[in-house]
Amino acid sequence: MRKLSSAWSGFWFSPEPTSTLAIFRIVFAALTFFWTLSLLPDLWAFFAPDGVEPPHPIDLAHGDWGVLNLVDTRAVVLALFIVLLVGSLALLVGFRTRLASIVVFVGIVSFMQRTPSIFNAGDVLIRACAFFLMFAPAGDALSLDRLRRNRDSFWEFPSRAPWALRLIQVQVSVLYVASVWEKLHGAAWRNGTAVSLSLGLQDFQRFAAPGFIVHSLVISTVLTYLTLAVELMVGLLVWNRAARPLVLALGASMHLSIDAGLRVGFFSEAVLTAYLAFLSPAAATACVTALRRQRSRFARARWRLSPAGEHTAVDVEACSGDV
Amino acid sequence: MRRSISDAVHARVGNVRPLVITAFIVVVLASIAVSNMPDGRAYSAAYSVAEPLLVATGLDQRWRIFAPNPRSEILYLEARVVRADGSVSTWRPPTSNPLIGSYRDSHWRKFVEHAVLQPDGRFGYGWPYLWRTIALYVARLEGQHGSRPVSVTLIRRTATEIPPGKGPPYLTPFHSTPYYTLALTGARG
Repeated sequence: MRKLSSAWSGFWFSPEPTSTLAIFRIVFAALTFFWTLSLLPDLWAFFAPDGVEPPHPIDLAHGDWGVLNLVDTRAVVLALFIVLLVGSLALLVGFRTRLASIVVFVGIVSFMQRTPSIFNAGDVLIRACAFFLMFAPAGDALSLDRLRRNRDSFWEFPSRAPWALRLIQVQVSVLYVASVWEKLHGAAWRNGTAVSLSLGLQDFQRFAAPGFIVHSLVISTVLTYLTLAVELMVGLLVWNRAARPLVLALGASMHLSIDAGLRVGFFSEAVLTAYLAFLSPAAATACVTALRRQRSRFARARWRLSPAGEHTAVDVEACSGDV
Repeated sequence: MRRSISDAVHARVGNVRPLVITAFIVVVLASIAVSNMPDGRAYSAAYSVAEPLLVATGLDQRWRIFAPNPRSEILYLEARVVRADGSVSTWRPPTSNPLIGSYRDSHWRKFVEHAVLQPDGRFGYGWPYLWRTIALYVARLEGQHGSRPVSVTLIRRTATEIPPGKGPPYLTPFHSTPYYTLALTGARG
């Protein structure tokens, strides 16, 4: 029992550097910003009272509480849109990060509860990540909040309990295992036609896949079983440190393919962003350090630009050397 | 590496309200588990209890991505608008370029699935409560120019994919099925 308790505490609470969380926050905030922007062309059609979906009154018994379920006049819709955009930017730069994460969550839930008919699984993942991020110390590194509090140690990553980040990891794992479970109940996934049927949906296509892929039973069967295998591997083996890079690379390849072929909105982007939660703190710190070095090189190269705006041979040499 | 006092304090989160956080984690994990339970009586019973929490926290989820089967029907929505002067026009949901516009289109695509499918159909995600508001929306939109709309008919335009290895052809012919008509009287649009 003590061993179990110790393992539980270690997994959820053992402090680790916040570099992973900082990277996740920045990328997630950028994703949220573009997610919000994608609503702009149809703001009235989807969310105004005279739009395509009737308003849903607040129903606390079922958990509905969104701002737009309370009042959805055009002014409120526009205000919420702007607030969500600003909240995303604040989250991106880590300004009043906790408040920004709450604003982002409230905004996303409000839009999704107002018009549930337009959102897909990717949006659900974004909403779940926004929920978890509210509880994370997301502004403790690489943020304006950090800069204001500890200017001298801006590039340090204080250790914190990673339980909120772990919940995002669990969510990713559950997504895949549940998805495979649901798919195994379908004949098309068992007989190997599922990928062909999905790629052949004209109304769903982004860039049409070549006919020899879509119409070949052999290729479809291989891709269908490969999809199931990759999903199962990501769902289970992502917890294995050694297998993690490989399974995440396989998962990323699969999602980029889906994104190229089908109009799935932000689904692939949301999943790939959630993958960042699995980046080890050491790797995340190394990424930040590498980016910082690149920035230093760039700044040095710019500083050495000749008055005519051309690099000298010495400058180019300096750019290629280590800083 | 220099660490501030607040960093050191925060690093000891294991000692700060661990029971509360543990309880929170357990509730969240249980909620996610309920949301992903296989269909059945146990799921219905557990979901009815967990639903308010799941919806309120945004953790309500069902990962049926192209599952249990991807749909094999290609679906388009059209709205036929008949005007007071007898003229007829057709409205279709907007589409954009595949690169950037596809993020916008995905919302309309999802909407069309809910708007044209029958609730008891094979794919089961038809939401008939949308029909009237779509028709009203189209009437308002189309009423901004030309003669006053007097009726809007929603039309489901579908074709079915032939499974791989059994074609060509790879698609049945498209057919159109009117499934809802809203007669408009009185005020313009």
